[in-house]
Amino acid sequence: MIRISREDFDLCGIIREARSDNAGGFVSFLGTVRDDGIESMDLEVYEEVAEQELAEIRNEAFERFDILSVDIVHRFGHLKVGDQIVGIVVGASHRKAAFEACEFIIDRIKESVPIWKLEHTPSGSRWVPGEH
Amino acid sequence: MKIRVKTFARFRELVGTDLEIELPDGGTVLDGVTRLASTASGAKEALLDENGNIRSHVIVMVNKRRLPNRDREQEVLHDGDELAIFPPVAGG
Repeated sequence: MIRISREDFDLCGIIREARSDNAGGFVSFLGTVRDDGIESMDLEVYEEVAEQELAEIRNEAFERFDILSVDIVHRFGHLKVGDQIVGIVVGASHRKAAFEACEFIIDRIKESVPIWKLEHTPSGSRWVPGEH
Repeated sequence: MKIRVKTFARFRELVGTDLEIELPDGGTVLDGVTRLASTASGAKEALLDENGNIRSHVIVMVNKRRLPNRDREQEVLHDGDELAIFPPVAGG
């Protein structure tokens, strides 16, 4: 499942949905809003392209790693410190592939999915610089 | 011909988004970005370098397909194309 949404998500629910008898393990990643002296942030997304890009990343993960399932949820809109931003669940027969694929997926998301963060601090707002 | 333009984040704040620009037939990506750069103060510095080329960190997509930096400026646009311009991404 790939989803870009304003809505919050339940990582345990995603794992529950992903479970199957072939799987021997699930690795999840949960990204949250860190207090870097900020109060909140707004996430902006190029929605159609972000969905297309997440699907592409999922396909790449299936090609590279011996895994059984990939689920990715990424939020946008207004989020406060501590809120959930991104959830990833990877299922595999064996744990090593699941760990590696999960790390690959979050790294690729940071590199190529068109999402931007505007952080709000007591002294004003600033765009988080992307990597280039 | 008419080109639809989407911009995001800092570039959206500078020039706006969901715009439509009119370019002569045969107009290129560079023509489109140069036109946008002329629409607001600060936009030229953000989008173009001192030689009038698109800054290397500016990401360009046409019809939701990312153009590699090499040769992208000469990519010819067509009537109704969607040109998207944005700064480096910072999701996750």
